[in-house]
Amino acid sequence: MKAQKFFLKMFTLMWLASLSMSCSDAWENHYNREVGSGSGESLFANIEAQPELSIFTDLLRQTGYDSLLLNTQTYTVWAPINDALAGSENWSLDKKTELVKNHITRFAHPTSDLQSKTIFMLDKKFVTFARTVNGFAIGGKNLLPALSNIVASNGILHVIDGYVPYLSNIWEFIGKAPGLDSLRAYLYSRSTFEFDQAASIEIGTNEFGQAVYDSVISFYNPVLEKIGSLHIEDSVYTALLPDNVAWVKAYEQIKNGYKTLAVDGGDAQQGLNTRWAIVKNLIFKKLVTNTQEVDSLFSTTGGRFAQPSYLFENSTKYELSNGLAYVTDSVRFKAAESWQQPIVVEAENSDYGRSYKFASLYVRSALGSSFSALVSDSKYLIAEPTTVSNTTQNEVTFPIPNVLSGKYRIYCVFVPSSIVAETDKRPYKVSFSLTYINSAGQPVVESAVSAKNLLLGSGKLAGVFTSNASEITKMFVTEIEFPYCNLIDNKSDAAKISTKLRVRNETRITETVRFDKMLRIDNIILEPVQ
Amino acid sequence: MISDNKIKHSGIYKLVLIFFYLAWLPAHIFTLQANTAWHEIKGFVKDAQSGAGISAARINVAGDKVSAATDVDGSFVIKVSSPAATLKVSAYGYATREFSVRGKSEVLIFLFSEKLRNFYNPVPAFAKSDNRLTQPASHKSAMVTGQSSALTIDEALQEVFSADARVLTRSGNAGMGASVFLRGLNSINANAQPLYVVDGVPRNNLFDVTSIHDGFYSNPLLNIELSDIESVTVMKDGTSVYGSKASNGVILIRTRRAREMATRINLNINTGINTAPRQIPLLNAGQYRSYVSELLGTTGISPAETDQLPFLNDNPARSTYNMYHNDTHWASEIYRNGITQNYNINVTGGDEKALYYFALGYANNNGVLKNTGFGRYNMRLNADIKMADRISVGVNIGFSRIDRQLIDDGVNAFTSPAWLSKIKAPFLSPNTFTSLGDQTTEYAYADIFMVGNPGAVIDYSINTLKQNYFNVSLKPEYRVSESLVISNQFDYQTDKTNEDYYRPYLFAAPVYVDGVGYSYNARSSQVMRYSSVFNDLRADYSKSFRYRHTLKAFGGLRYQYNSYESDFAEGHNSMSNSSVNLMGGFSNIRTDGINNIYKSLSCYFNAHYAYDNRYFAEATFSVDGSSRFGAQANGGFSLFGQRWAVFPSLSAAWLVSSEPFMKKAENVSLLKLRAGYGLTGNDDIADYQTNAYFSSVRLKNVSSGLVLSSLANPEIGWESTSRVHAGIDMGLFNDRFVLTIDLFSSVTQNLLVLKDYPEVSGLGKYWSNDGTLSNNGFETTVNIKVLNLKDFGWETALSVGHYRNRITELNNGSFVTKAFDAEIYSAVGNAAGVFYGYKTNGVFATEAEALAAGLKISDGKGGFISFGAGDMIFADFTPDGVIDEKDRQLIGDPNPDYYGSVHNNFYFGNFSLSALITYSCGNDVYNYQRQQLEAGRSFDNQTPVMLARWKSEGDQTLQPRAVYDDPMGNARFSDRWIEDGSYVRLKSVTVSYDVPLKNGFIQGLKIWASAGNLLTMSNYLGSDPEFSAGNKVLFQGIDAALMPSSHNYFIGIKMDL
Repeated sequence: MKAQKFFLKMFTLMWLASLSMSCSDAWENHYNREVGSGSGESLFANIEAQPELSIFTDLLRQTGYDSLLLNTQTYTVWAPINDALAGSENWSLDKKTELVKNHITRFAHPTSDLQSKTIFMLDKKFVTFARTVNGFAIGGKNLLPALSNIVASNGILHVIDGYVPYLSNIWEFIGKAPGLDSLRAYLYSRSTFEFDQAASIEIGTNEFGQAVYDSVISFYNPVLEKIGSLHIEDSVYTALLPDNVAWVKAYEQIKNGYKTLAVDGGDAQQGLNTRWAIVKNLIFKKLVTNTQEVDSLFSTTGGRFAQPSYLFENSTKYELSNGLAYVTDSVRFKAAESWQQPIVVEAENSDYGRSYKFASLYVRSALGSSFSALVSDSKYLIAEPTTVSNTTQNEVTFPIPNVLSGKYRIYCVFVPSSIVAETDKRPYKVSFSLTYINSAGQPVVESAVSAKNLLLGSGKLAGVFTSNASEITKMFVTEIEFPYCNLIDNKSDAAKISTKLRVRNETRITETVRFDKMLRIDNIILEPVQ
Repeated sequence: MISDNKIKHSGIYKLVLIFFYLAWLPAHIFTLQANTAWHEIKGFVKDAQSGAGISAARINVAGDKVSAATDVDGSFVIKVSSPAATLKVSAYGYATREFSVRGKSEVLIFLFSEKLRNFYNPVPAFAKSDNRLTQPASHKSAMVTGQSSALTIDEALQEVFSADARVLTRSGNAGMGASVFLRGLNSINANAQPLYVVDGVPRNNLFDVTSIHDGFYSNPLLNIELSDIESVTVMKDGTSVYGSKASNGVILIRTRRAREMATRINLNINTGINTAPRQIPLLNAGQYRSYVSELLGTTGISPAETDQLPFLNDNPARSTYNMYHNDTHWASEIYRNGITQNYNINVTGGDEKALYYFALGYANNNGVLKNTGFGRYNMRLNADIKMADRISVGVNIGFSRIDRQLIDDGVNAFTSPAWLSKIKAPFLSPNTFTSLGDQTTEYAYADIFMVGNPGAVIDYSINTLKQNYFNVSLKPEYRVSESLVISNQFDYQTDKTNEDYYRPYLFAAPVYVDGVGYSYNARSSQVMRYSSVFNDLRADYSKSFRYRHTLKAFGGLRYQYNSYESDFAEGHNSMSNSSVNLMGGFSNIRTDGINNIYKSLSCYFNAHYAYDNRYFAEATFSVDGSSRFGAQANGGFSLFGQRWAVFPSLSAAWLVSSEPFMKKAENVSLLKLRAGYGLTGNDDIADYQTNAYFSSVRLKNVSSGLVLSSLANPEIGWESTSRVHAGIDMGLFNDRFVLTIDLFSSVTQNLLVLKDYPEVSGLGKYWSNDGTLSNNGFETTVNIKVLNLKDFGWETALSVGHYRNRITELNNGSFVTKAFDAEIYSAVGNAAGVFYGYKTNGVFATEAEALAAGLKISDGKGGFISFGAGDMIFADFTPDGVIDEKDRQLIGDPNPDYYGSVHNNFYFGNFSLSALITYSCGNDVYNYQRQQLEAGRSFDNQTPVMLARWKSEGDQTLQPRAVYDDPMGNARFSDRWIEDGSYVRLKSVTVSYDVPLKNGFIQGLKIWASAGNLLTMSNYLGSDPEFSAGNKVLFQGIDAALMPSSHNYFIGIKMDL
């Protein structure tokens, strides 16, 4: 019993000693050191404590954002002083909310080492935070030096002498600006809201073993996907926005190029394609502040416009949160620059499914040759004959995608034999045939092209053309007006291409001394005839 | 050989030479005058406390072969051959004492209770009496008490030797042992651990064997049960007999043997708990969320991506809300109080034919980390069989089996639960939630930050180690004459270790592996087989001439054959936690292995001469050959196409207190001066460095081939350490005050260093002999019997060790070794292991300060990036305004100024209480853990120091801003992470009680309780100032965040039947 009491006492002493182990000045001083220069209070507490921010404090409370600034995430707040917010008590709750969200952002943004940066506010607006001559400003409103860089437990507070007005972005502008109904109707009608599996988090499985997600529904608009995210403000754009008059005029002008077979969607599809043709070059990545000083512009879909100031004639400029909008009364695009551009099919490009007979195909580079600069993309296609028979001539058939309903002049560009042997002066002797859809909507297969560049119909004997043996030959094939457009969305739809040009080498066995049995083709060109 | 080495010692070398001369001169004179005349000595043996005579005390005289016993009143009469004789007095219940007659005819000898004895008491049965040793106090033995939580002898060393051995606990995991350094650091890249010799057979400590479990070291000494150990001797000098294996000192371990025929049964049982280790404070959920949401802003993440992050969405209606809004204390998920049980029973006894010691033991440990632990079974049979009058055979058989449940340890962001518990987001939950918001018992997967679930990693990992150790030793001995004994010890030992490792799918984050890509789960296995054949043919000679001259000598031939084989296999991506067999669904299966053989032969000789118990001299040499030596190695001589190394040593001692002229110095009970010189070597060269060889490789998992892996190096050889030492042993007031001082100075030449092959060779590193290293220092112990009252006694002892390590020569210049994000600089004039990094001077509070300083770093493309407000201020030593590697400085030295211990022992009646305090002073520590947890560059959780990070213009703080990926290198290796590692620790407190119970069955019963690591005083900011990142010299002083030691509480019982 005595022993038990003794051990009890000893262990008590040991425990007390072990508890004392946790007391270490160095440990405490290091791990519990005082927090920086800040008070350790939250952003909201810091704002609330400033008498000159009482109106902003009220706005935070009214809009519910006081709790946000009490939580443990990191924010930066640019709080307008009371004088700047005079009269705000009469604002609607939506406007108050817009203002509050327009002065708060995630993350920490002190003024240190700041030159200029764009801040993404809670309302998804970009506002410029920059160094000025006398200090710093956010959206043009000055920071009060004595009340800047205040460190809170959950972020940084700057006090500013004004408030940054809420600006719509281009998408919102289109949605509410008067006179843009036609454009709005088209763009907004394309929007969908979809379940985003990649962004959703799998949170378990249901009783059938299927995955259950914390669903994230994402906004999706295929047009915005192509022309730019006008709605999310992570980039700035220049937008050319046709008003209703301009829209109708452009529509009437363009729609004839998009006549569509009923089987491919008919009039409805024609309308869609026409509208897309109108908008696809309306958005530019470059910020065009002065329309007279721009040499060239590239649209977000790749359209190039030289000396584009004409596009902005009679337009009205609007400054928006993610760029500039020019509302115009006429879409002044030149057809060849925009919706009716020439079609160039590079012979070496097999993306659309090239076919050939009695030939082996090779892609060759023109680099290093005397024709290097003349061969597009510096590559061309060789169709080498695999037989020597007069009845099995080497030939290649090129699918031609995205022809519009309208008139085209078709050319085939040949690279001469001398590109590989300077002394070889043998030209190519070739014939052509064209496959297309006629006005009855029926396919015309391999309609021979006569020596006079006319389409003869299927089974006719094609004319023979001879290339220039010493230079690149852009050989006119024929002119044709396609009654229907033939558009495909992507390369996987190549099987739907209805327009094809066959190029055949017509050199006989006995003629190989004078003509080359090879075919060297640079590209096929379809030039629209206005 | 001696002349081959340019001995560069301090003045201590001259001191030793003078001593030799002075010591030998009087010895020579006395030799000439020696005439044997017997002197009668009358004396009394009395109790030092009461002054009462002690009856039946035994008095022996070394060398004279005479003895006497005291009468009832404590008186005795004995004849001695010399007035300088030393009496060895022992009595039941008292500590044995040696007493110099020093020409007196009447002596009064006081004995102290056996409960008061020097903490470093010699083992009575050891070959030589302590006072006759020429090797100093550094060549001391100690009994292993067995009253502690230690499971291995290297852990226990700290308790019994303190300053004589610098012992650094490898980790708080049970049985991991300790890194041990004797007399400084005697190598840079090669093994600097002492040689362990168990019952005469060297043990391979497998110092550089790599486990497949991170942070784990398979300690071979764990195979020896502590209760089976009779004595441990630390030899720091005079180790030349072990030649090329002894430059780091030798630790001799003797296991128990029967000493008498009576049957004795001894039962030891102890059990205890280890508490969860001390945790570094971490940010709570709110603080962490604030930190992460600030850090995100520096990643360049888009607003759209930010909106999708569930941990930033505070809407309780979201189904992910529950998962991301917790405040989990992750350490609580993985730690527990560990429990250890240890049982040992042994039997000794025998008859005239044979004596035997037989022991069985079982130890079990549940680690403080859940699901970890080990079990150990051990058996030992030591027998001495008398075959004939002159022939006997010693037999040692040992077996042990260890089963471990392991988990990766240290800074491993994938599979170390301890580390995961530190870095994992506290706002996450360990378990999943249903869509209704109810928490399940299912573990959550690795999280959005790619940090695994520590609890799940523990549960789903299948990490084991199984080790079987067996040895058998036969030692026939033939006594040719009274003076000459010839023996041959044959020993075979084998150690097979199976390691299995499984990194779980989904619960651990995927790891990018070269050649595999992302490895989502992995299985690996390693089998290591170590076996050794040892034979030692030896002759021992012992003879006294005319009583005053004693010669003891031995010599022999030692051969050792070691083979080490390891087979490794790993596979990846079975993509299922139920498919864990390596050949199952795993792909990218890779195998590797080692098959090394290493042989050594040593011829050794030792002679010890004593004259009149006052003058002692000892000479030793050995000649070693090794398969690791290159044929053109520097030093030694060539024979049979092999290079042989020669290691001599010489030492002497003068027992001044036996001199007649000390007759009147009554208060000086002991005074001995010692000095010596010795040359030893280190043959821990990697195998096959002398040869060019190829290794097999697998190319893109398609074809196999051989690639050149090493170029032949016929010049590779041993390191050689020459050491001079001098010391004094002094006992005052009847040995009530005992002081020992040792000075040493050593020079290690032909340092084995790792160097880089030219990069074009693609061969990596190679070993080379290059450079010189010195160690100068001292060790001292003071032992005081403070109180010796009737029922109360108090004895205290203080030990202090010090060494000054310096690299004095590196032929090919300095080099930097990188480890744990640290840089360790080896250069002439520095100590080994010093830290080389940047010096800091706070944090730029303002943009103006940063601009004024104009510091920048290279962007790697010809440009520069300027430091700004919130960045660290690094010292620009060049000064060119650019902070780069030219600005690195020495920022810390891990070598202590002083280290040692303080022992206290109290007894009151049958109770005794002992307390051990250990300390280290002046050693710098690289706190790797803090470097990771205060870097502010990743989404890993951080310490609360991150709350004080620079946040905005004007912030006055020492903690720089948090920036993802740390582009400015604010967290680079700098003095921010170097701390003073000095500490004083109450290492153990033990209370024991001798139960006054004796009957025909129970002969003795002791109950004890101990507590370990109770109190630590230190400014160190890690969990534990006592650690070792590994055995390597250059890894000392790096806190690699291995499991820290924690409090432990044990109780035990020891019963003699």
